[in-house]
Amino acid sequence: MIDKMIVKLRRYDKLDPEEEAALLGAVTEIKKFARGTVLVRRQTPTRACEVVVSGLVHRYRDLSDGRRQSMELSIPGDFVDLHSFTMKEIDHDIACLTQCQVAIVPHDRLEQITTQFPHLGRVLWLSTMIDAAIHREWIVSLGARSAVQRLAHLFCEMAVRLESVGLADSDGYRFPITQNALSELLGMSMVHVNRTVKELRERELVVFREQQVRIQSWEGLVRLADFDPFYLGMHRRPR
Amino acid sequence: MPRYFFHLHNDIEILDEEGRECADLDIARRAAFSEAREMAARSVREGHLKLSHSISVTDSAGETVVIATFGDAVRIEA
Repeated sequence: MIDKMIVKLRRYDKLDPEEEAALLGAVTEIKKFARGTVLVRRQTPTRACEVVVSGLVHRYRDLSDGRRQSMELSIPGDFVDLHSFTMKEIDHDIACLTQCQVAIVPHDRLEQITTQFPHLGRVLWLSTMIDAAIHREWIVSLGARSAVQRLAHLFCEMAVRLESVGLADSDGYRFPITQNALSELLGMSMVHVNRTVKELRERELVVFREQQVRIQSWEGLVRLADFDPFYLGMHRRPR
Repeated sequence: MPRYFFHLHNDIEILDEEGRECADLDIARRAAFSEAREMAARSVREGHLKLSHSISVTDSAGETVVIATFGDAVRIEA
């Protein structure tokens, strides 16, 4: 059930069969959650981490006036709250944007992995560093990219990440996200999101409709977004 | 909660096909004016602003229940 995570980690470094078996064996159960379910609440003690098996998950912070900013989308194969293994209580909320299946990995299993398989421990450490890199790129988007560049960059990032776990092809990918969720992710109002979606279509770069992203010009989209996938760390190195 | 649809009447027309839930019409009206301000701000950043451009809101029956023009959404002083 967490084969997509193995596929993802193999992009970072070669894994031994024993390491892969240890990861697969660390999952104690697979749970189903409805759209909107909060998987992890901020400042709440946790005893397990979660891997996204299917669906879309996001991490976000709510302000006291009700406004919400999402910081990252998590897709199948992502160890979405590995942070909680060392943090114990995390600083943000994590919730399902669609119906989701999630694999549960208890902290004590992760502790065994880090002692018995230090290299695998480092690869998992790297995956949280990549989360931080994604956040840095997102700060650049929110602070410096225009509305249309911000959305273009999100479409590029999702294309590369979904493709790496076999959920996208050169035409595009399924992207079951509401305009409300996009608005909270992009820091723009919903009408502004719609306006920006239309702008990308008029520029003949991307068509986003009926939960499907269809890329018409990858080169044009990359150029507009100033997208460089280096931050996603998908280059094999000894870790 | 009732669903309302927020349409943009700007240099281009964009119809909202998805809509959003608002507790009541007053919340929808406030959301429309907030949308008008954000879209007016985008126009200003692009160097133009037409005060007659607007956000209109329809309810689930397709009736127009709010029109928020950019001019009504911002107070402009000399």
